[in-house]
This record gives sequence, C-alpha cells and structure tokens, in this order.
Amino acid sequence: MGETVFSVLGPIMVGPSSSHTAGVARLGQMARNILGGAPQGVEIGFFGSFATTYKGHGSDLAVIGGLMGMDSADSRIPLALKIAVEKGLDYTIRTGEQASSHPNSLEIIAWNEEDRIEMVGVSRGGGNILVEEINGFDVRLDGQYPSLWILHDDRPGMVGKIASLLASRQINIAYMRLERSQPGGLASMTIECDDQVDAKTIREIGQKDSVQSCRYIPRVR
Amino acid sequence: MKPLWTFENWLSRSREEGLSLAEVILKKEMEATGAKKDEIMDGLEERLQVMRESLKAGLEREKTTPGGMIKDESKTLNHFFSNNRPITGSGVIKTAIYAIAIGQENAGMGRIVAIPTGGSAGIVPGVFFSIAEDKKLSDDQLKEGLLIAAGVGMVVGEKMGMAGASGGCQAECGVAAGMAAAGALFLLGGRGEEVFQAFALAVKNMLGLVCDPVGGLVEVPCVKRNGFAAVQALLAIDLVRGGLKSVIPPDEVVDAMADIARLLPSALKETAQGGLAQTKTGLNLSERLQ
Repeated sequence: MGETVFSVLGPIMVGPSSSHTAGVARLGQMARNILGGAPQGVEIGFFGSFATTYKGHGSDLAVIGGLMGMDSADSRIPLALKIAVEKGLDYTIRTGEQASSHPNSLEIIAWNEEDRIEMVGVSRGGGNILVEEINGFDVRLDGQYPSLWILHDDRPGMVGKIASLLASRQINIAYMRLERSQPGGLASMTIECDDQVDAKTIREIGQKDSVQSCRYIPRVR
Repeated sequence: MKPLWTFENWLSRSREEGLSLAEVILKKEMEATGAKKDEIMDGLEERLQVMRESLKAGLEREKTTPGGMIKDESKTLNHFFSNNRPITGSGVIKTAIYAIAIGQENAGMGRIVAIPTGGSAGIVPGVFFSIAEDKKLSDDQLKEGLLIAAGVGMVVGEKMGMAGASGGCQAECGVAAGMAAAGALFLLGGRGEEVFQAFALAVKNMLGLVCDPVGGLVEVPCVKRNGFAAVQALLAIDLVRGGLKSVIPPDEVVDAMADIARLLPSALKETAQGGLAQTKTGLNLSERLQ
C-alpha cells in the first residue's frame, strides 16, 4: 500500500503480466548482477503458478532476457531465447515443487568462467520481487536499492569495519542482513544502500581482512 | 498514524489550498517522493509516449499471442467499421477498439504501461486517446488527466491490492474503468465532487467481477474486457454530465470493492480454478498450452 503516481501508472513493461513477465525479467537481472557479469550457462527452475503458466506468460523469455541484461521494458524480450542461442548462452528450463512458500517462485543457477551462483527469488506482483536466497544463505533483496553482497569470516567487528568505511564515503545504509553457515564459519552480509557505491569502495571492502568477496548488485528496472 | 488517502481528503485539500484536483496530486507526489515537478511531468510524458506507441502497435498487430488465443482483433474491427456504422456510436466503438488494441499488445508481449496492471492496460489510454482526438486535447491536458487517474488508484490502493490475484478483475479492469472515467471527466472540464462521481458510477457496475482467465493467461477474457470496461467509463462520464449521482458515495464504493475482494473465493482470483477457465473449452485450450 502507500501507492505513488508512478506505482499506479506503471511499470512500463513488456507484457503480459507484471508478476509473470516484468518481475521475472528483474529476477533474471538480479541473478546476472549477483554473478557479477554475463553468464555462459544457466539452469532455471519454475515453481508454483510459474510451473504451469510460464510459457504463456513468456516467463522463460523474460528470465533469459534479464540474465542477458535486458530490463523489464526491453522490447527484445520476446526474442530472448533466439538471442541466447545466437550468443551461445547455454540454458535449460525445468519445473518442479516449491522452492519457497510463495506461489510464484523460481530458482536460477548461473555460471561463467569466474563463478557459479544459485539464487531463489519470488515475484510478488506489480513487478515487485524478492531475492530470498543466494548460495544457500537467506537474504532479502528487492532490487530497489544499490546493494552489496559480502562473504566474510564470521568474527567480531566485521559489521563495524564495513559500516564505517561506507560512512566515510557518505553512503547511507538503508537495510542490512547477516547470515552464517555456522558460528565462526563463512558468513553472508547483504547491505541495501540509499546511494550508489563506487568501484573503489567496493574494491576496498573486498580487500579487507577476513572478507572473502564483495559484489555490487545495482538496482534493477 | 497517517490518515488514509480518500476522495474526501483529496477534495477538501483541493478546496482548502485552492488547488485543482490534478495540482493536489502533483503536490502530494512531490511531498511523498521528494521528486521535482519537472521530473514528475517527464515521467508522465514518458508514459504518454509508451501508451501512444502501444496503441499504434496494437492497431497493426497480426501476430498470434504466446497463448494462441488472441490475434488481430482490433485490425478486424477497424476493417469492418471503416465501412459499417456501429450500433453504439463512432466514439464508443473507437474507444473499445483502442482499448482492445493495447490489451492485445500486452497479451502479445508488446511494451505497455501497466495502468494499473498489464491486464487492464488498454482502458485508461483507450478512453483518453479517443476523447483527445475528438476534443483536440493537448498532451499537457492528458498529463493532468493521468494525475487524476493516478490519484484515484492511490485512493483504492489504501484499502485493497490492485491485482486479480488479490481482488478479482474488479481490482484491475474495474479500477481502471474508474480511473479512466474520473480522469477523462476532468479533461472534459468536470470539477470537484463530480469527478469522483464518475469513478463511483463506473466501478459500481463492475463490483464483483471475477478473474477467471483461461489457462491462467492474460488473454481470455482480458483483452476484450478492456474494450467493455473502457465503454463503461464513457457511460459513467455521460451519466454524471447529465446530472446523475451515485447514491453510495465514492469512498464507500471503494469500501464495498475491498469488502468484495475479501469475500471472493480464491478460485475466482486469477488461479484459473473457476469460471471461464474451468469451462470445457477453457480446459481444452489450457491443456493445449501445457
């Protein structure tokens, strides 16, 4: 609730469905951003209502389009599968049982030479999305804020170190979430920011002690 | 707690501050989002252009949609009515054809503005562009109409979700008809209370409308329903211009719609478990899609 002029008059999108097409394209873009670049191969799993109606809503075109960097209003989305073949993007699509409690959920496994990621996300209607899981870690990213996904060792002071670096660059933290595999193990920190994060800051976070990786996830349209 | 955004508040703010209904929405948006007036006007301009492009593309569309149930409806209609007089009236049939054209464009994965949703995207632009042609309205005027339509959606959004899955088709095509009626009446010089009366009359006649799409897709009955809903908006405008009033006030019509949204069984909320989706033909078509 709390609609604005442009939430009522929008989004501008490729039809037919804000949840099954626009939201799915945004989830595809999120997976691309989490991977940190163009994927060479992807596996998509459609669940719930997606499993039965993804073809008729062009959800397959939308997710592959998003993974190739198209936004939800990109008129090339109807041609996305053809473009994927031309670009040599290897994709498979399957349907299955629920990956999430939400009726419209999907799983994306994407890889390239540098990395491989697994993401679970839901489309909540009106083009709104939520990424719920990255590589087994619980997260909550809605794609509306420039975000950071940081993997680090679970030890004291990590939040303070990273938060003060962001503060020194005048970057305000809107939302933040921590998860860990086990005490003292690998931990995941997601930070949604009010401001864009520059490449230097991202690199500096990545180079800090006990930080394994820092990836920037720009907002998606 | 912030008071609910209602038609009544909108009207009293307009009176107290000496602003038109459209100016109230502009000011409210600037306060709520921190956007500048120019940015909001640019956003409206962009939407107007996308709507116009989607209308043009829809009128030319001949390609079958992904679900296979929609093809070249607006072209067929245009062809027939270029040589035949409609029973309804030339403005009525033009409005319906425009709304259906954008509905087709949405179903066929064309680029549209979801206003308020993809499935109901043809109704507001269908009504606006048809009236704009007849009355020679400028884009600046249309933008004011869009502000009114947005304000109406904001009132509804306070009390219910605008999605078939949460409120049935009344929450999509019903709300769109109300947005179109209020916005277009404002464009035609309607002021104050009567603008919201147009909303109330249009929506009252679409209360309880279920969302029962064949195969769960935004094709049948959605595309043609855009045409019908647009015509409801036109009739609401003329009834208000002719002096009729809704006995139930506009804000209470929204309460009624939200109440019905809660009472509607989920089989009739976009799940394809009832109504047209479960007819013999609906099931056959749906099976063919799997």
